[in-house]
Amino acid sequence: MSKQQQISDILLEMKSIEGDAFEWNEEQLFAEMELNSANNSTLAIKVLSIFGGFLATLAFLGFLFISGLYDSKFGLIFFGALFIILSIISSKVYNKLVIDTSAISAYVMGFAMLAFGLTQLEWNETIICFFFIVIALVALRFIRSYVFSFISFLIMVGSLIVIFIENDLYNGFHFLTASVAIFVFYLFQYESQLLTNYRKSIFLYDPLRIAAICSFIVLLYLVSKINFLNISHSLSFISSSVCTGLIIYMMYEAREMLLLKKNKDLIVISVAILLLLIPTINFPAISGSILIILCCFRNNYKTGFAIGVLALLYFVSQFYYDLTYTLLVKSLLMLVSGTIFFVCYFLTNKRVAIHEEN
Amino acid sequence: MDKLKREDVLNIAQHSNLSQHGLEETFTTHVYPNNKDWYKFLNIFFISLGVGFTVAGVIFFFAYNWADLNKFVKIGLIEALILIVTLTVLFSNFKQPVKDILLTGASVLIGVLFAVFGQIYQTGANAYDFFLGWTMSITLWVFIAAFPPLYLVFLILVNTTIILYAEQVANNWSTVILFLILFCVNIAAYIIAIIIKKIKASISIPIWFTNTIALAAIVIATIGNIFGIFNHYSNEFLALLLLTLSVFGTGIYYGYQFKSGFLLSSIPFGVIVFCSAFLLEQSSNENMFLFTSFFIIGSVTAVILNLIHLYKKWNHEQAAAN
Repeated sequence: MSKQQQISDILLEMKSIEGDAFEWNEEQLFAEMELNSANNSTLAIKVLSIFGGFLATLAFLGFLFISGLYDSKFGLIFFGALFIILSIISSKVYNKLVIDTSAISAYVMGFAMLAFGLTQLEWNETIICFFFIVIALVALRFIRSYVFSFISFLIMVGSLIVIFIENDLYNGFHFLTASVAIFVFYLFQYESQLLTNYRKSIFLYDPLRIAAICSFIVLLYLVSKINFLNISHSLSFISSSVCTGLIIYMMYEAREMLLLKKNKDLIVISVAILLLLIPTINFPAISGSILIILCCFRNNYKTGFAIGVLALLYFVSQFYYDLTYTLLVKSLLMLVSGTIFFVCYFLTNKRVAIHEEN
Repeated sequence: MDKLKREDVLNIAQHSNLSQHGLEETFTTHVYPNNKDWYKFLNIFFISLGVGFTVAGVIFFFAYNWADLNKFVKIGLIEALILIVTLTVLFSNFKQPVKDILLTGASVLIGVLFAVFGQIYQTGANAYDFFLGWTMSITLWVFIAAFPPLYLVFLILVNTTIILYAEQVANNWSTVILFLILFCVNIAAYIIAIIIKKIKASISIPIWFTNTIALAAIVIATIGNIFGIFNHYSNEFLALLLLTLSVFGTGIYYGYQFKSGFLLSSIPFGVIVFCSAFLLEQSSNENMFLFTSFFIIGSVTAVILNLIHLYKKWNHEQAAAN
């Protein structure tokens, strides 16, 4: 079946759901499809653009340092601003994947030069970061490129992290992590609502989603790692509780899909999730990465799912490595966890068997 | 109907007045997993965590090196565990994926057995012969199970054995020779995987597995060549460079033939990285850094341009075939 035929069939299917009020602009729809096909952006192209952009930026920074241009603060600021403006304009004018690498390189180089220049002008770091957030927001307003938007979101979160560090707001990281957890959950759980409410900015959803996952993992690392950046662990329970609560809420929302019809089943599973995650209350990275895995699986987002699995593997190893118990106690803890997961496996299997019999 | 692409649904949502309910329905029917997918996922998730935690628990238990535990009890315990797991794999009614995961756990336990042996008889836990013994002991299981994650464990063991052998025994090997050998081993594994995929349809070799080995081989070749470039162009380097160029050339040809965007992006990127290293080795003045920066931007852009062109062509071919 051709692509156009497939889309036409889906449109008819949607009409049967929506009724006669459903209308679409066929001309624009197929024109966009053609544009997407010409700009077919696979994961390989996106990764290539990002890696190429960063490698070129590194070489360029090498040039700046060796040539001594690093010492000229006004030169740095002028060229930094010029690079950012040119990258935004070229991305806006051409809107083609092929210029992504050069535009991204110029964009990141521009930020690096601005940061060096403004620091030499003795601007306050917090003001520089706010300035960067504003520039990234302006860039987001103008460009449609996936990778460009992704980098802009990362610059915003990175600036926010630096603001927290520069102002000794270490406890704020727990609240920031909890907020990002809620944001990630919201992005996935209410995907349809977001996409229909902000129809004109649909192209921002995908880069925002991957940027939110990456930022969430970095924040989870910061709030979970012991003796890192003076972040106290006395408030780690905040983000852990939020993640655990979201996992339980997600299970509740997916109850029909999970064939959980009785309230008793829901309560038993909620208690089981709580019991499993309570030992990790001071290490939010574990509940956080499980939340990422579940969210990505729910929405069939494979890249995020793979990132979540890798993060979980890393964080579980870090969790046991950081525990101050003897190896024997750690071993017993792992064996108990292993047994609980085996029980979970048998229970889910039993449920499927009962459902298939019915 | 074919699984609808998410971007097509987004495209429709953008150019129509599709309601939130309609979009949710379309996602649920065509994009999101159904309850069978959920249960399959939960099954694999729980059994993997179960086996993973239990095996890790066993490893930590023996790493504790309990002095009061008799050496026969130690070895006996781990052997009993291996027996129980393998007998479960052989005679239980579990589904195949569960059996495969259990056998992967048993393969890791074999390593624990060797480590405990090394611990008791003071032969060292990271001796290369320990890893060689471990690799050889699970070889038969690996081929019988035909389970990609177990293949991956096996390949990691083979690579580790070679690296430890180079460190502990073959002191005369240069870094470039080590990379040359590792490159050959991983390329051989890739070729075998591709041949099996072609001639034996009953064995499932997923794309993530072949891509992982290809990526490992490309990373090894790239790092090896960078070492060679910065270490005065030895004869071994010449051999590695020639092999890399011929294998990469074949890889690109294969990528064109079998429409692999992964090979057509990762191989050129590897070449760009070691060409940049070559440029910086020639001169490390500011002009060369600037030139390298432009070289990377230009070459990556050319690769992307080529990929876009190819994807367009492949899409048209697929549309024509439909």
